[in-house]
Amino acid sequence: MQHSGANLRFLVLLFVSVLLINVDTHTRALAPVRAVLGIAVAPLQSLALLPRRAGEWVSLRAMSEPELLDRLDELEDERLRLSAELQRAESLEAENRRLRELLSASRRGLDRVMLAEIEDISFEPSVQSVLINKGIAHQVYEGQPVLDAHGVMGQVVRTSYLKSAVSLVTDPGQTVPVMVERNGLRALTTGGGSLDRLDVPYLDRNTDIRRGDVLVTSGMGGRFPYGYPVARVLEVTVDVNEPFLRIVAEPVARLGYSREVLLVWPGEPPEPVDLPAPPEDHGTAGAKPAETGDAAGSETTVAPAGGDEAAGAAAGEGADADRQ
Amino acid sequence: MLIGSNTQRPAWFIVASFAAAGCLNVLPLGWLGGYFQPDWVALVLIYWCFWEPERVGAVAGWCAGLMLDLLTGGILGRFALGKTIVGFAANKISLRLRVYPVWQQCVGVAAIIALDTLTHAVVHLLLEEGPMPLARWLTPAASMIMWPLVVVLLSPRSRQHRYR
Repeated sequence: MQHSGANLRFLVLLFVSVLLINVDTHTRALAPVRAVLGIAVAPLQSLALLPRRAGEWVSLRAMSEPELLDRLDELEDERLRLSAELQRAESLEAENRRLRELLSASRRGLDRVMLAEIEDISFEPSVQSVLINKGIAHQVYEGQPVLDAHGVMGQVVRTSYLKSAVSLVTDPGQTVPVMVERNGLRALTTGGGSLDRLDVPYLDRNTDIRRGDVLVTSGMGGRFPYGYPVARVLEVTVDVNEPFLRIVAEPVARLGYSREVLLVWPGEPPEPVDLPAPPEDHGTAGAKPAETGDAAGSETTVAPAGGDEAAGAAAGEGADADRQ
Repeated sequence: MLIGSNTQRPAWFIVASFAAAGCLNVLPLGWLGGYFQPDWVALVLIYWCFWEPERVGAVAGWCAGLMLDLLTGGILGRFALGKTIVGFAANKISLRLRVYPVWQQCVGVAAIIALDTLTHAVVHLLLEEGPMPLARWLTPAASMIMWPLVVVLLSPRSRQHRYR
């Protein structure tokens, strides 16, 4: 009697497991379950990461002072270079915003970001997803884009209270709407199954795309914000027997190496950061936009001649206000 | 009765062993590029299915699998399915296998874990994630090698003389 009971239990559990897999792949009904149960296993996850963390701590302690000073120097240099670039990017950003306003296109600004860390927890290295140490508690949501310092990494597919799983762009199920940076040609990338390969399907044989082209997110579909690099085209093969080009690209993000990643909230303004801004920034920011606004106005034929000044000034003020 | 059935282990010990195995499973050891990783949860599960068949079976296997699903942040049910099968199969052959010497049990253990790998491969295909990498088939072999260690670690002292 007990025997048949065990058999029945087994069959029920099999059914439940298959049901779980189906429900979890096709719906989000299990998100609350995962959020709650996820808390229970969080201590185990921390425990599993302990050896790696300890190793890193030890190797950091073991670094000699000159080594650390070198590293510090390197980072200082990098920071200076980046802040110079940032200033340039900021003025471009302001100019871009004004031009878009003149064209009455929708505004497109910087996005709110948050730093997260990859926890290398995976029983199966082949599955193209990683776990990060931010979850619902940090307002992470399913479908959220994830970047690293070099480009788009992927998107959040599952969240629990404290962790989330990120599916990489190289996952065969992941499709990212992109465009060729050089000419604005729209395309898609899909994962090729290994960490260094992306496919670009459905492009006609006479499409203008070549080796070395950079593919950036096009913002189509509304999930990934516009303008972040995704991949670089490695080879373009023409096969006369096939209607489409065979294009292989490599992801720009360093998928196998990055530890720190950025979670992006597209459309949300960034939190104010203390930038090393020169003190006269306020004055020039007000003056410069008016100039560029005029220049843009004289080139743009759609805007009425009288409105140029006003639009330029208004945009300048807008940019100014944003910066404060 | 057979050896070991009179030595009941406390429930907390069983639960703790599963938790420890779960940690080991997701520990980023990177043996041979991460592929040659023993399935510690399956090993612990099989151990308890052999020597505590009244308490540990398919249900415990399902729970352990769900724990792995949560630990890895994957699709719920993926590991639970395989571990349910492992628990059931191990229970079925526990009476036959536990009288064998440990090194002969290894073969049976590898066979049971191969069932788990097979389940995994099927799920991979059904979810259209592409074929499971062939290297994943090393898991039964890697686990088999670790079986004696698990037996020695989890056996009560009264039975340990058998393995010396």
